[in-house]
Amino acid sequence: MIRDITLGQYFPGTSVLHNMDPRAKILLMIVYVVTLFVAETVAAYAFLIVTTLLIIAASRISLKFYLRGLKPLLFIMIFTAVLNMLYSQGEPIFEFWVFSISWDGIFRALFMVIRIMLMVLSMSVLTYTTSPLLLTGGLERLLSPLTYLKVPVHDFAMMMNIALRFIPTLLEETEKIMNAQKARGADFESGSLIRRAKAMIPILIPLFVSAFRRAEELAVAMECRCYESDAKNRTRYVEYRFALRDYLAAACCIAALAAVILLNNLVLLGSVGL
Amino acid sequence: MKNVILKAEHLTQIYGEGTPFQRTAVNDISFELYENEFVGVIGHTGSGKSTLIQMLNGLMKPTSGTVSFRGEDIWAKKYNRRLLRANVGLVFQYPEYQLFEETVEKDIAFGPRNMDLSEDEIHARVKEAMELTGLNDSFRSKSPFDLSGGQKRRVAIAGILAMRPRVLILDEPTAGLDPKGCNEILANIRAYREEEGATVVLVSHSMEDIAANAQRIMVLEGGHLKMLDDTRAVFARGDELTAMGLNVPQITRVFLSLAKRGHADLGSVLSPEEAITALNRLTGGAK
Repeated sequence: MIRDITLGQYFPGTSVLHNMDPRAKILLMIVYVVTLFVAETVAAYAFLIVTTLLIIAASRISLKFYLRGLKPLLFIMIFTAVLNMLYSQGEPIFEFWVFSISWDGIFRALFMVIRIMLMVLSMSVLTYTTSPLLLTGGLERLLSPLTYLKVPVHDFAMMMNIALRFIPTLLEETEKIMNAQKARGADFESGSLIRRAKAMIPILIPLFVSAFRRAEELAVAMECRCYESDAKNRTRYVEYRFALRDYLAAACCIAALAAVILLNNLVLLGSVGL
Repeated sequence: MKNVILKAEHLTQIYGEGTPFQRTAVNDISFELYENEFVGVIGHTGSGKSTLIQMLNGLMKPTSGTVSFRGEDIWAKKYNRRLLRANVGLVFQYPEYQLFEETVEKDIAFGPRNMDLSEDEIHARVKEAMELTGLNDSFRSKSPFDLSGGQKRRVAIAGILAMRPRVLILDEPTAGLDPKGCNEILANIRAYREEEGATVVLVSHSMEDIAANAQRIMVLEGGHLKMLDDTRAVFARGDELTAMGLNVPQITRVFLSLAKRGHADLGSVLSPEEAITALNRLTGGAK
């Protein structure tokens, strides 16, 4: 039941996208999301739907998993669509009470939903193809210039790494403790809200105790290996290097941005011509 | 004497059914447990022991197959599974990590309190469970977090004993304890079985502990029930156990290889005491 929550999902694989430099992936994802927001016309959107599907195909992960990731956002998408539909100008085609719906509104809503979907899908590509370790590693490297402004980038990255590492462990632990208390007759499912909140105490206390114990053990283990957060000239086990595929990916991404701008203006020119 | 208390029929548990990660943890296991018997469960890590015992007290619903306690299907509609968990007490591995109350007394009372017993009854049960696990009155108001590892373990076991289960299942209750702590816990379990006439199921990696306590042994491998027989009969099949990555008690191993070298008349032996008797018999009692 708890295990069904998939946090920081990552699907191991060997596709080109999996092998890309995490820094390149993060940067290009940002460029791609900007591109999504630049798009204004039907042609540009159609183009971006195709490119997004191509990127998903390149990740060699089943589309099923991507669509599953969209499910939790269904509510937000419907909400945005309805809001966009109702609050828009243009020739009304349908009216009731204070609301009016126009073709303009319907298109706007449709674009909005497609935009959100594409955005979530492209961000999913990043998290699905990059292990959490590489992701934080890449972020740390990208943000490292901030260390000159005395921002403890490394510490934040390490904290995030440890947190990500322990999420599955703590989930497993929670399940174990829940079962152990259930074996002692604990009841988490019935009773009033207050009763149920009280029923959480036998889970939370052992969970906190064990989390602190783990934290202490980890701290000792790290100190045993002479870990210092402000160590100078720390070398890395994995050195990130941009490879040909990263440059190619960057070229594709910029080409997509250029194409979208072009498609926006093409239709604009066309309408001016009319 | 041989009354069936718990019965498992064709128990199967499949994890992640329908996903690429599908795994059959327990595969078509059937057996009966009798009243007041002591059964040992052995098997390699990942052989399905933990999954199996969680199905016996209704914590986990089997993918297929049934469990019945005193003839009643525990997954029948309206069956009170909370009450079942008091009747089939399960002590998890490292049970001390489940302690949470301010005092030892309150923690042990958690189980009985969930059974909606009267305060007097709860008090009596806590007292009895503490006596059974060798915790004297000075522990009553101590915080369970201030105790030593072995003491914590005993408090956790007392928490289950206080529910007075008719079947007591323990998942490696002696793991990580020193020899003295191990022996004390095993003695507590034996004492509980004798006093209450309860059935005990002991999961352990220590063949010596199993040989010294169990009347019957269940051997699991890869989710299958490979053997279920009297302790002596199971340990007589030392070669098969070794092939499964399991073992037999050291002294039994010595006598099994003696038997192979032509001393079959020594018979099978489960403990050093039995070994002495057998050797004395061979030498006609001469020292």
